Amino acid sequence: MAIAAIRTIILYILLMIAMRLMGKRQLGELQPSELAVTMLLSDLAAVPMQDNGLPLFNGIIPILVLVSLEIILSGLMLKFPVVSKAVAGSPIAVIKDGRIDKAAMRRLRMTVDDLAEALRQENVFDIRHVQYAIVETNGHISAFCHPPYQTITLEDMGVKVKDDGLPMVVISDGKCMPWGLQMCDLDEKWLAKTLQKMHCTIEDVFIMTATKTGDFFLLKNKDVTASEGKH
Amino acid sequence: MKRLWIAGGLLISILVLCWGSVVYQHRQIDRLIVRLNDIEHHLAEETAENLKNEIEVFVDDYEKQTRLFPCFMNHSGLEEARETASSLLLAAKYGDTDKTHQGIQLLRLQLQIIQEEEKPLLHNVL
Repeated sequence: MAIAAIRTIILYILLMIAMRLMGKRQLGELQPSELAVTMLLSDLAAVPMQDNGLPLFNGIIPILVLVSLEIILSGLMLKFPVVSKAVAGSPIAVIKDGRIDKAAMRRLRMTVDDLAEALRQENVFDIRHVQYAIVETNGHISAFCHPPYQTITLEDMGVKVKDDGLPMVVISDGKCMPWGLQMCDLDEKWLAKTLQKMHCTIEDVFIMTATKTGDFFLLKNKDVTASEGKH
Repeated sequence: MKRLWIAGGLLISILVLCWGSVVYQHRQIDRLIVRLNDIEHHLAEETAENLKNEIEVFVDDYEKQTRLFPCFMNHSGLEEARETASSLLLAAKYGDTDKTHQGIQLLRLQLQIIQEEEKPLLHNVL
């Protein structure tokens, strides 16, 4: 039993390392090769976890080989478009200029129901509104509507809005987030000054967000007050 | 780019490790088989006491030389060979020449099978 527990811990750590090595792409939208690798990794780890008669290396080696091959393949796909096309394929337009391409749908083995469902997932409920619909290499559909049906923007309305930038978490659960400060072009001196003004320390703060203009939102652990302030 | 280098390095390390394990395992088993052949050759000539001592030393060496095998080989084949080695020792202790002879032949066969199974040949891969 102890052996099974130790093997599980080792393989779990290895899987985490493998997922980190493969990068964030793996955790997001999957290409066919990435999907194959993801499914294989979990099975490969499970077998030596359960069977003490197999050497642990029977799980470790295949996982590492798969991860290495996946990374090398990703690198080749980046460098050589022909490899990318061979492995991932190309996006296919199923609606072009408002017209449905039946041949493209047949090639994708896609039914009208599949198309309608995919468009609904893109918040498009009327196929007439779609100017272009492209099935990406990961199977996801991207829809571009005719101009009258596109979402209106502030620029379309001629409304000028102040750009405060992206709010970043600078304190999380009592701990400073240096990366958040860096993204806002702020520093720990500004943070210390602001916390002093708010009469609290970093440890008292549950969450604090800030923007590059110095606007911030702070919520203390006691949850007594939510203070919004300006620099 | 850094990941690519890590991946390449990892793959090469694994290939080297695999090749090394095959060579190591092959060499160790060859040594054991040669020792078994020697013992078998002297089976008729040796006294029961000498034979017992020789087999004890062999089994001791066997344990030492196959210590790392479970790290990269299936345990089931190794367990069987280990049992045979133990029974060989018992047979030698009780002076049963026939059983000792059988044990030697069986152990040699098992070691040869283990050696063959681990070779990266087409029929093993398939």
